[in-house]
Amino acid sequence: MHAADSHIIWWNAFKQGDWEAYTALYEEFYAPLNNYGAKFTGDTDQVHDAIHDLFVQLWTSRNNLGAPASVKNYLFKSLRTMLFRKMQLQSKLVNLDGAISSGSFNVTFNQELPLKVEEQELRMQVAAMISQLSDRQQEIVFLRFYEGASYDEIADIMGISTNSAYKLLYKALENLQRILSKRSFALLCCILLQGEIIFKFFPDSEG
Amino acid sequence: MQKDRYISYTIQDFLDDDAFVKWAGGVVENDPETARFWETFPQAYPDSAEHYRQALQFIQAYRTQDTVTADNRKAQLLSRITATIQEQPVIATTGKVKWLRPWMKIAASLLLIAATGLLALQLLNRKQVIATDYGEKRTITLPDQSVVILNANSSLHYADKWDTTTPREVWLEGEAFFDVAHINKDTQHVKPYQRFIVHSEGITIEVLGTSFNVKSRRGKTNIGLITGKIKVENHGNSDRPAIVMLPGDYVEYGGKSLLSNQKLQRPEKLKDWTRKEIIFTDASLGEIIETLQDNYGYTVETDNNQIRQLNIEGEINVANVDELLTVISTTLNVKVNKSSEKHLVFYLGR
Repeated sequence: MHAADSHIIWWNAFKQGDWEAYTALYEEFYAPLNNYGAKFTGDTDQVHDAIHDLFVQLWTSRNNLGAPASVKNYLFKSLRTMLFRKMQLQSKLVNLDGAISSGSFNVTFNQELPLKVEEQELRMQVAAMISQLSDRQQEIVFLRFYEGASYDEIADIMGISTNSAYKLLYKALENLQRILSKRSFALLCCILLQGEIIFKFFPDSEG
Repeated sequence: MQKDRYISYTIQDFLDDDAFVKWAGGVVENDPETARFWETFPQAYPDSAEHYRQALQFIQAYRTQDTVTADNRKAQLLSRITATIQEQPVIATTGKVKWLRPWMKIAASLLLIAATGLLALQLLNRKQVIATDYGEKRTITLPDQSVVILNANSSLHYADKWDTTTPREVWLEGEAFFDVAHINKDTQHVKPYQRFIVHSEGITIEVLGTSFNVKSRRGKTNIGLITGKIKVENHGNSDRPAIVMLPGDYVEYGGKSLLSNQKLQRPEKLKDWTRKEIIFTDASLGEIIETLQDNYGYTVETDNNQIRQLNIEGEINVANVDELLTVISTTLNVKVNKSSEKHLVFYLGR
């Protein structure tokens, strides 16, 4: 059975008042929701508050909830709305003093990973490319390639048209082809050069 | 098979292909047939193999991004959600008030109107004094729309009408978080009513528009600034110039002297208490005991003073005092005895 199917089963049971199904949904979606929310703000408490409000609201309004096509997308969309409302409220208070920007979206690549040199290099290039994108483009790239959402699903979560989701992503990836092809060229040169150096300096090292 | 489109598939084509993206990211369980199709793709379509490889590499590289894991807080948040749900009032059904006869309903409404009127009259003519009981918190909106969250066992008073000739002034005993409405736009020409002054234990804090926490307990007053800029004066000691505080600054006064002046890493932690639960971060048992006394009115006994030095690392986030005591006795080698309703004894040992 696919995960999405069990989500729907849990969802329907939870709507009938099944507490275990409700906590199963929480267990399933806490981590991805927390991860998604953290991209919008560094304030982890705020993300937690939003998840709290989201799940409390789900339970209290369970009798009025419909049957979403995808439980995951529904939760992502709701969390996004709740978090934005919270951040807007906060920024209204802070804005009086001048500063703070809202609605940012940040994906980082700081964690040390055991990668091969060329993998690490590509990772850094991708990180650099991503960092140049607008917040909304970053969000689309995230939903597309991290969460595996389709254009229709992205449009639904972010409240934009499928067409603009597609266009924004297309624009975001314009540079990608250049990076990837330049990279394989560089890699090829590198391999060839290495071979040459070895030949030049160690022509008969084993002999 | 209708898969000829794959013969010359560009990188963009791959990235637009939902099935490919889902498979490459390993986001969902693929049925074996789909998985096999993509795994053997380079052999099946050699002309598109280079683009296939590049698209795959991109997705894999992108997915090496940092993820936020806070699994240690997962259970904690669920219990907070559960607590909130249990606290929600059960919506009264209309059946419950059916026994009221029509004339009773009218009488009740009249009474309500009269009471509201009386209350409104009182509010108009009085100086506002707002005090909280042990274990109670209140959110107050001042006449200028500034918001004050008053902690337990604290009081705030202020004139109920604010005019344009005098500064906005409030007097605080205990602890409160202030979010002051910003009126002044031109810092060079501040009009009297644009000033906002908090008086507390001989200290005055002057602000324009900002958010900060003030705590005056046990002869000490501490002030932490979250946003904006404030000026703090200690009237007990006129030799000392006023301190201008910037976001993150934290000062503590004890009578005439300035006890501490430091920069907080996370000043927003200062307002944690304004949320419903009891929250501590890396607190000593001594601090927890003081809060039990100041905010909840407990009397506390400890069998020796060392016990107060014990620390609970990390964050405690609980709904009520009983839960707090459970946390203490499970994390520290400390037993808590509730000898009467409002009296606690802490001693070492389990």
